[in-house]
Amino acid sequence: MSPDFYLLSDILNFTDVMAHQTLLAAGELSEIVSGTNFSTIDWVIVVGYLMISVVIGLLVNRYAKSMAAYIGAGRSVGTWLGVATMTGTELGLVTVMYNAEAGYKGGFASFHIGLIFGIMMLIIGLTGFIVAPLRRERVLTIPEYYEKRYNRTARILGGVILSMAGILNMGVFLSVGSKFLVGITGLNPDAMAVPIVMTVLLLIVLVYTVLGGMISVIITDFVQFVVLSFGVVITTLLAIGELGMDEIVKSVETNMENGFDPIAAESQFGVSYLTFTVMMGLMTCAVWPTMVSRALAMESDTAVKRQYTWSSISFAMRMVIPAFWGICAFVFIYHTADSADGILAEYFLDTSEGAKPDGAYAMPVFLGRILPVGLIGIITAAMIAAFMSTHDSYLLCWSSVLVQDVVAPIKGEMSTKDRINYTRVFIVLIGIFVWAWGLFYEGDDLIWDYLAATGAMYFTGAAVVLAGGLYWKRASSAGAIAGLICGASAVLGVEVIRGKINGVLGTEFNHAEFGLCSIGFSIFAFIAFSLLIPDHPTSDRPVLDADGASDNQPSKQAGD
Amino acid sequence: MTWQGLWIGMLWVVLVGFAAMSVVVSFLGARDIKKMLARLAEQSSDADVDD
Repeated sequence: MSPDFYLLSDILNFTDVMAHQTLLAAGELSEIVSGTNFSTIDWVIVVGYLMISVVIGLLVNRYAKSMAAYIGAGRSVGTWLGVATMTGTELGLVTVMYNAEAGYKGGFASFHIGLIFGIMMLIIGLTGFIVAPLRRERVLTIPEYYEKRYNRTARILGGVILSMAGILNMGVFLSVGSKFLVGITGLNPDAMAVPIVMTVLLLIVLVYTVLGGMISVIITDFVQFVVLSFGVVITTLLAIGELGMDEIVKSVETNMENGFDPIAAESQFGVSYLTFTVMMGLMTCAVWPTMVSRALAMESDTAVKRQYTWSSISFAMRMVIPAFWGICAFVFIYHTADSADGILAEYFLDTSEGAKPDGAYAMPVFLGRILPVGLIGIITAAMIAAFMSTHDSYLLCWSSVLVQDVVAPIKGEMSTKDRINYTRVFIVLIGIFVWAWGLFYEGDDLIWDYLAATGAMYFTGAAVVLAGGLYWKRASSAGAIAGLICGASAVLGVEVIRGKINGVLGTEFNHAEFGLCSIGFSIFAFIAFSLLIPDHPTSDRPVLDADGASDNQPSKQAGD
Repeated sequence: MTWQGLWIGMLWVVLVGFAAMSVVVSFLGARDIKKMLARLAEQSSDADVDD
């Protein structure tokens, strides 16, 4: 036999072994998820909840008569409703899943993410950094501000980068969320359960977001907040009761390398990761569009500050508690090694060559084992609510940016009716993209790392350009465009691109190091181009507001 | 303070703080919904008159 044939035979043999292992793992996974306590009563609770959400969307449709009402709830949201809706939006099922995965793999050290985000949110709440002056501008989207402060090109470019980053960012939401539902309800993951769940959930979200816009989004966010806050507290106490706090701490100490120290080089994180998290925390809390859209819908800038200050608690919670559930899942699985439920340890702790246990299933499988009938239905309904409230807000946000800041400035005059219709079309198109991306994207990064890298494509440039526009008199349109483009280079940190760059350069940079470089590039380019190419001192160009009316008063920075 | 002490302390502070905040936000948020819908109804009747 020729050496080539030997090679082909080896490849075929290897592929066969891999396929066999995958089938074995998939079979194990169906057996694992089937051990859940989820029952018919729980299905009734879940279906009832979903129906209520759709009815709300139908009922509030009559209030969405202007673009300001459709995408900004008529700027009439009070402080407490603002806190609930901010929490509802940002505490999505994907948030729960990525933090649980971080806790499952990194232990208590992963709490640093929640701590940093909580502190950053508090700083922004107390100072009003970016969000308060932006609310005073009475814009409905961030790129609308770019046009007021800079020029129309900055608005269109900013709108394109923002929506691309946002849509890529939410690309994994649907599949990750569906894994939770499959894991906790015991649906068979081998029988197309994930794509079917993805499709059903997406259709429900599309119906009520298309119908009611921001008003239905805010009310369903509130319902989710109430249900989820109850569920989160009860579930955490049950998990502690089941495993014991001392045992959880002892298991992490014994079985996880640096499960407490986030800056140790051998931990899942490290110094560059932590530094990037600090930068990312400040930037996302100040400029992440779905959060800012909540700030812009508030009744006053004082209400915005209060909203951010109070939301700092829920921001720390949304990361710390799910990470703790992930830690509990690890401890629970570790202790099943010698028990009747030993298949859990066999699957999740398999470190043999070629084995790739899907850690995303660990937390839902754990909850499926410890939560009693009835409560598991409420928690699942709350998680579906979390899933839907994130999706509806994100769909509405990216589609409204595409209409307001890309299509409308290019087309010129557009009626309110046309804008709302275009927004609805984009909502559906983005939904289809997210569905397809969720099915076909396969990356090995932690979910959190994927989200950080795709989000950074937008927020690095946006934070620099917004902060510069609001607080620096010499910021110019050329600087803004350069800053936005350099900020978008953070997309190179996404695993599939980063791997190729590292391969060519022979380096091992992680997404955090790519992110830090793009922040540096963006700041440098923004300052350099603003100084080299300043704007003309006066401008009479019209700025289109939410409903297409012209506003001839260009923005001035807060320092004026 | 050790990392271990920091994280466990943080877990309890966050859990208790969030539980307390949830109660407050649930009651006052429901009141805000009523106000928001009243304002939106007003805005939408104004829009009807304009039309």
